[in-house]
Amino acid sequence: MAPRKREFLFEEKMDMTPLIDCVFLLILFFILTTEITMTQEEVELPFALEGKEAQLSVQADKVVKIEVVRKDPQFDPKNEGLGNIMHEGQVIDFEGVVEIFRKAVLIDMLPPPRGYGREPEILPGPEQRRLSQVKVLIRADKRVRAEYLRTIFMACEKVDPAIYKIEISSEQPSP
Amino acid sequence: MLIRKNKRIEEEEGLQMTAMIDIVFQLLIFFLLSMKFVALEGQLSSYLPKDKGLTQVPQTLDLVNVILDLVWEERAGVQRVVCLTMDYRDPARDGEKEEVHAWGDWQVTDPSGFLRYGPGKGHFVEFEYSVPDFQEIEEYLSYRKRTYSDPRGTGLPVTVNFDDRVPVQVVTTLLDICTRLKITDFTLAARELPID
Repeated sequence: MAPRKREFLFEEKMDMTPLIDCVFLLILFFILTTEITMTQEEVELPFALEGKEAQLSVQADKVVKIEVVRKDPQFDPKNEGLGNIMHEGQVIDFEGVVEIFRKAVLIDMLPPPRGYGREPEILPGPEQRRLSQVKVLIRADKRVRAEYLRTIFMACEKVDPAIYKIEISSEQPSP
Repeated sequence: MLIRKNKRIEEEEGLQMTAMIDIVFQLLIFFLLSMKFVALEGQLSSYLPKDKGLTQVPQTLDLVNVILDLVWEERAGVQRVVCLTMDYRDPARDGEKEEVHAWGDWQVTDPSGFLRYGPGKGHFVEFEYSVPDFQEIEEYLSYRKRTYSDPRGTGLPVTVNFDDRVPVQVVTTLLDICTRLKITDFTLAARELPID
């Protein structure tokens, strides 16, 4: 009689171990993924259907990433599309953008191993403009004015050799 | 008596999990709610003019090229983006800019603020302002591409000028349309720009 009662008691208690295992795994997963997303800037990218998948790992070295973040809506109550140009978490102005591009272009033209030793493309014709192979990746909020794009383009023109390759990040439709 | 004793032993034996599980579930719910999935990100390639922009050669505008002007208009509290181009539909009107526009005046955007976007794909994009009819622009560009003689073998050149105030989304949408039509010679021009 006694062992039967014991069995009964044992069955009465639910075995929580696998459940807790799963829950811990889930928590671990969420902790790790949220850390990644929290470091990203809050940019609402413009929507586009045809964006190619980003290949940052292949050519990260010659891509300069510039972000255009929307100014706090509180400071922009009329929704006039004001924003800030940012690079690596720092707000920069036109001169700052030019400085960043100048450095990228210089590094790109250094001989290996520090640079990649790419010869700038030289435009035929009377102007003989030198063109750099550096690419500018723009992650701009969809609501900000295109004025900020133009600021970045002007900076691209200002460095020598000039940058002419532009990538604009977009949000793709979810599959 | 014997049973009671056994029960007590069982209770003491089992670890008290309830409080921990409570906390663990709270944590789980917090992370579930606070998590936002990273949206898929694509990239659209484009080029800046290799020469110093249109300001250098204002007189030699080639009518074979497509030049689209995005203009921001604010009238009577209505904000809208207008897309202008030369030589649209009527080649006799050389040098005059017309609006690429299918449905006439101000009600281009759906009153709900959503616009059907992308042929047959059923996507909707929300705009807070009136926008040009992108499907009409796409049809126009595709027509121009089909009829382009392509003397240099580079494909139809498309240049987009834009006002400062035009939102980034509209510029990106044009870029998107050109990518879909496989127009590779796409240039974002710096209009009326005093460079140096």
